[in-house]
Amino acid sequence: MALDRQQFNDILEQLPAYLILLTPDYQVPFANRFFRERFGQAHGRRCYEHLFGRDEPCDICESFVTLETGRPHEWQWNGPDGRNYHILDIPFTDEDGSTLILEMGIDVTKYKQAEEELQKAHDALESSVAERTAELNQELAQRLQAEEAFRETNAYLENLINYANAPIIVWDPDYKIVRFNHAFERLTGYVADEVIGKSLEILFPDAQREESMALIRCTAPGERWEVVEIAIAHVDGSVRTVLWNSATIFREDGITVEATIAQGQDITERKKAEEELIKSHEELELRVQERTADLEKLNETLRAEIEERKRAEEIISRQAQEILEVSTPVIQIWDGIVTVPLIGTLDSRRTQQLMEQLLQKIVETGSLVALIDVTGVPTIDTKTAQYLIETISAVRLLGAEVVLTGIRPEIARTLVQLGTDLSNVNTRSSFSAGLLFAFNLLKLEVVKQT
Amino acid sequence: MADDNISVIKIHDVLLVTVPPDPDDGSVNILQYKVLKGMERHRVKGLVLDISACQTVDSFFARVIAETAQMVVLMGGQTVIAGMQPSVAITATQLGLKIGNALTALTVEHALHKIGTTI
Repeated sequence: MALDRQQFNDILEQLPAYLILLTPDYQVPFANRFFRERFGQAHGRRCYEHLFGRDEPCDICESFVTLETGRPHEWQWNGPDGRNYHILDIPFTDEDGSTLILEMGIDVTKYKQAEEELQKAHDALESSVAERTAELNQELAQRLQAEEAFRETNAYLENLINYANAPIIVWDPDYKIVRFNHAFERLTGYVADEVIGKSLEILFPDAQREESMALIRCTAPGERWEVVEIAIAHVDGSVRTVLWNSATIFREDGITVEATIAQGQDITERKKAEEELIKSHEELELRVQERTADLEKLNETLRAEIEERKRAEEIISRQAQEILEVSTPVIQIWDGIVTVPLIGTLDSRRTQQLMEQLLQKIVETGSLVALIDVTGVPTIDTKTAQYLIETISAVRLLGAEVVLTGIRPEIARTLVQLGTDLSNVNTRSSFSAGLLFAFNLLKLEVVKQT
Repeated sequence: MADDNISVIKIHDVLLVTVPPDPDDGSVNILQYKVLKGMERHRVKGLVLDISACQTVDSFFARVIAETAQMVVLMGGQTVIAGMQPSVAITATQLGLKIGNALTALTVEHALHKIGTTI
């Protein structure tokens, strides 16, 4: 048995792992060679004092867990020598019945390191895989996005061409139609599907086909149209006038012609309007000219008329003067008697004329009596009455008498209502009565022959 | 002087004064003075003023003549203005001149007739 014990001890001493006994109060009653070589003799000190120089048990120590559970406990421990140990604690009852812990520590530093390295390598691999995956995902997303964008752009451009208001056509180097937008459909009456792949020739009216094709051939070497007028035939036979500009689309090499695109502008209406405008303008011009000629003629006529009127006016004024003179004829009807038969309306001018002529005649003939007959005067106004009175006064100043004859009722009323004082004037009802008065004044007598 | 231009002639019982053409204010005053003197000196029935030479009259002349006529009337005579030109008559009426009690006559002959004297 002692041998066995010795043998057992030897075995323990030879173990390539440490083996110790721990008391619940942290004493180390037994430690094998491996332990001693690694950590030295405990010499009755507590494990934490001996190993780590501490005053109290270590927080991380799990050796005493086994006492609580009563079952073996395995854990990892980093020793003060910096190595890792895989530890197995087993509750152990000593011969005297006291509870001990049998602890065995296997140095697993190398495994641990290898494991860690492996883990590290594994982690590195993982992360690089993740990185690559992310990159790939990103690339994929980008490609998808680009594809989507491309599709959108394409659709947008397609719509742009298809729904553009201007007719747009594309043809290949063989003058076959490859694209034909909606505006062009409206312009020609063709549907795109009908004409795609056909020659451009079908678009032009028969008469201008050759000419138009010649123009189009010009575009083949890459020449651009800036503004070219080419007529387009509608399926119903009508012809539209369209202004075109074109551009040649080249392949990537920049030399080979891929297609030619042309965009038109329907100017039929505008052209028609322009022509109408020109026509109406010409008409207007013509009318203006006619009108001008008319006006000139009219002007000429007017000028002639004015001339004539001027002449007539001269005649009239001359005649008026003559009439004025004639209108107040002063006649000597007897030796010493003059008379003025007034006919028509008396105005100031005429009365003045009368005054001058009467006075002149009285002086010339040495007449003592003047008979003024107003039978033929329909009306008289204040001013004229005043002139008449002045005339009578003037005649008196010369030393002659005035007899006023033939005052009509209207004139009598007017003169009285105007307050004209004719009390000093000799008045007689009729011319003959006035003549008799004159004869009496001159002491003349008319005697019937016997 | 203007004196010499104006002569007051007595013919029978009438004074005859011939007014010169364009009399100035001085002449008119002298005329009046001479006429009144004549009236005083000679016992005459009236005065005949011959103004047939006058083509124009101004208001002063017209007033003096009218006043003279009235003065003569006051002195018991009759004034007759003779031979007034039509232009003067027109001007006079337009100026509203009054000759008062003086008579008018076409000619000196008529004037003398009006006064009642025959030569």
